[in-house]
Amino acid sequence: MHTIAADITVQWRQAMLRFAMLHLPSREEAEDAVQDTLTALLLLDRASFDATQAKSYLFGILRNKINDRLRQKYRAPLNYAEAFNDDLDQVLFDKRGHWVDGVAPATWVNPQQQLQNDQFFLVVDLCVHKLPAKPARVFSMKEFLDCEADEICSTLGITKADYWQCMSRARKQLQLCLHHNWFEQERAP
Amino acid sequence: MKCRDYIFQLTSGQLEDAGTATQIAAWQHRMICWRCRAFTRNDAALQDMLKGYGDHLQTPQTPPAEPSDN
Repeated sequence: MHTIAADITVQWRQAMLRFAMLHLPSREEAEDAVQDTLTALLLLDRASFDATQAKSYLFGILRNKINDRLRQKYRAPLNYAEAFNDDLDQVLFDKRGHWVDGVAPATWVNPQQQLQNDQFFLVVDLCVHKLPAKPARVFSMKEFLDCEADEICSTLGITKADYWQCMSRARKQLQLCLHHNWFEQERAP
Repeated sequence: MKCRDYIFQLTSGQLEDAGTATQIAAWQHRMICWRCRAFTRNDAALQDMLKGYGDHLQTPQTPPAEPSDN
């Protein structure tokens, strides 16, 4: 098992670290979560370990390790109102609640095709990392850790209204960011 | 329903679980607002992109090629 674990560490450590750093606030914590995952791997029963399923094992364990750390870290209630001090809606919508002229993104052309492009993922990465910390935390738990809304609220000590605000903020900002940094450039002559 | 309310319902995820009256109001709003229609299409595409990005994050990066002696 130790030989297998060594091979897996070489192959997967960087990807796991990248994934963990998306959710945890410091590199040290992300490295600890990855280390905990690799330690848990060593404790697995060799007979029940299927090396062809290494990715599922590793990221399944890593998700749990990240969730445990988030739960410990954010058990105290947080003031999520401060996450929306820079109210994006004031930029997007007028006082009557309609789009401000020139702000709404046009329909993207061939969005599926972009998934083959490594450069595109760099831009997605940039946009995800530009999200404010609190909406980013809620959003990444939902989209990348596959947590349900109730679990996220309980882990982070937030209300359902906070959850909806965070998800909405993140999705709006991501669409605008991708539009301005990728799709609008694609349309430009 | 105003654009701001429709976009909040959509992006927060509330619309998925909303009752019939809200679903109909949202549909009516999409019919009359091309900006919200475009945003809705992009939001659906964004969901697929995030799935692709999640898979991309969980993929080992290819190490840089060894420099050749030539």
